[in-house]
Amino acid sequence: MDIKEIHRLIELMNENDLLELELVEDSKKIRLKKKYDGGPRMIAAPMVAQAGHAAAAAPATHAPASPAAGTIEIKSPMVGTFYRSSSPESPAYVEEGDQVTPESAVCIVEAMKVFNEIKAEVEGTIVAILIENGQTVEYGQPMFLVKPA
Amino acid sequence: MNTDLISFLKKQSHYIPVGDIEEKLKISRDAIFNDVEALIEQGYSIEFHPYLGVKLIDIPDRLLKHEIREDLNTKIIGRKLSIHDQLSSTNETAWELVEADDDLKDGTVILAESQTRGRGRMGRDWHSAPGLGLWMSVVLKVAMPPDKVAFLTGMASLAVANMLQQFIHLPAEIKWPNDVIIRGRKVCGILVEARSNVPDTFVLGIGLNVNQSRNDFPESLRETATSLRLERPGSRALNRVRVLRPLLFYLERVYDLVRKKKWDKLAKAWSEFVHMGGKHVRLSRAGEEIEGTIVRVHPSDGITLRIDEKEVTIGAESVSNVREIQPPKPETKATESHG
Repeated sequence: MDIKEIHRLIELMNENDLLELELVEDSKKIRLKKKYDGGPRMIAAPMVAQAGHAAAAAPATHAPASPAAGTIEIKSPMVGTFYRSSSPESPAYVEEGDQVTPESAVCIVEAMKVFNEIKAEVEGTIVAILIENGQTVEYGQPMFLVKPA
Repeated sequence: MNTDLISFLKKQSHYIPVGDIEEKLKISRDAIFNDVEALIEQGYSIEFHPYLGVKLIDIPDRLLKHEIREDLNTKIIGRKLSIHDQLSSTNETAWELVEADDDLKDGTVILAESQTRGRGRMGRDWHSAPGLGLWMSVVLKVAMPPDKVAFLTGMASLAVANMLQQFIHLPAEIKWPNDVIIRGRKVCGILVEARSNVPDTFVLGIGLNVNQSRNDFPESLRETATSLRLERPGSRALNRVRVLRPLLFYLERVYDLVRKKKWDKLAKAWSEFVHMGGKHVRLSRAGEEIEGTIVRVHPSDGITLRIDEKEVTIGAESVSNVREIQPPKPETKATESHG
């Protein structure tokens, strides 16, 4: 599963007003969960999913409530160590408030001795940095919150 | 540059009279003198004997494309060469080429005589003195299973260590995770990079110290770094092209194994250069310090330690800061002997 697929899932959630989405594919499992915005919620019985398809849970309010200012998460595409900059002496790739384009480098994730420069892949403003320098990140773990342009 | 003349001179085992060159290559005496002068200016070592003629003594210690290409019978590594006098970093230039051209050839090699901002791991600087080492990057276009990515650095350190042992006859070893050392000092660094927006593509950076003498290293590195020259008997300098050619060949062989997913074969060959078995070490695992005796090492599975009779394997991605320490003293049992 790569970042593009994860973004598609996020789009799916947004289009369908879902708060939570869990996808199981072979031995891979990913769960995406949005911050609850406080509107009235309708709990539906989980749909029986075919193998490889998403099982939707807890769709958000039916009423056209004011949409939460949706932020997009930049997630780690692998297990590894998160670094804010390319070296201890260098400035961080991004800080809160920085504008990013899809090609902007936002961090390094070191995995298995390989240094991966992670690109934003979205356009917008960094509103939150969720991981500390040197911290281990899991596959799919959100690292940054971006307010889309 | 008259590469025909060079090729011709290389085939001669001794001096060749100018007249013979005139005849064989169908060029005038004047042209021969001009061409030879041009070659000497390029750094070729050529001798003129008034009676015996011309003899090629040696090729220059310069990254010349036609010299690197000579007898290079690789299919992938080095088929495309991008050679520069000075770059900030060959890895950086490699990424520029990758991002500019989707069809960039797998195995493209970028070389520089010197780097101003060579990269080491953890963003450290890699000191790249002009003309004294091999500073290079190789573009690898290969889909790697995520849990085997460490084999890319492993394969590179294996290629370097193997080449140094078999070709230059130096006792090269691999120090976890992928430094190549000779007699305890680092001679080669390896840095593999990836970018999230370019899938299935890696840039393999290799920095090999070839001809530095001790003072060519900054003071901070003098005790921990070494060069091939410093480790050779008589500290004789080497022609870097003659080191690069076999290196590309060894890289081709290990890359072939990676593409064929021969993980066990690679791990076994790699571990034969990691002389850590039986050593007592302390290492960090996710912030925790662990001590034990090394049972075996594997590029991606990690380090297996014996701790108190049990074997514990710590995955490659979790291990850091491995250092050898004194083994704990065995408890001596007092034995009474009656006289």
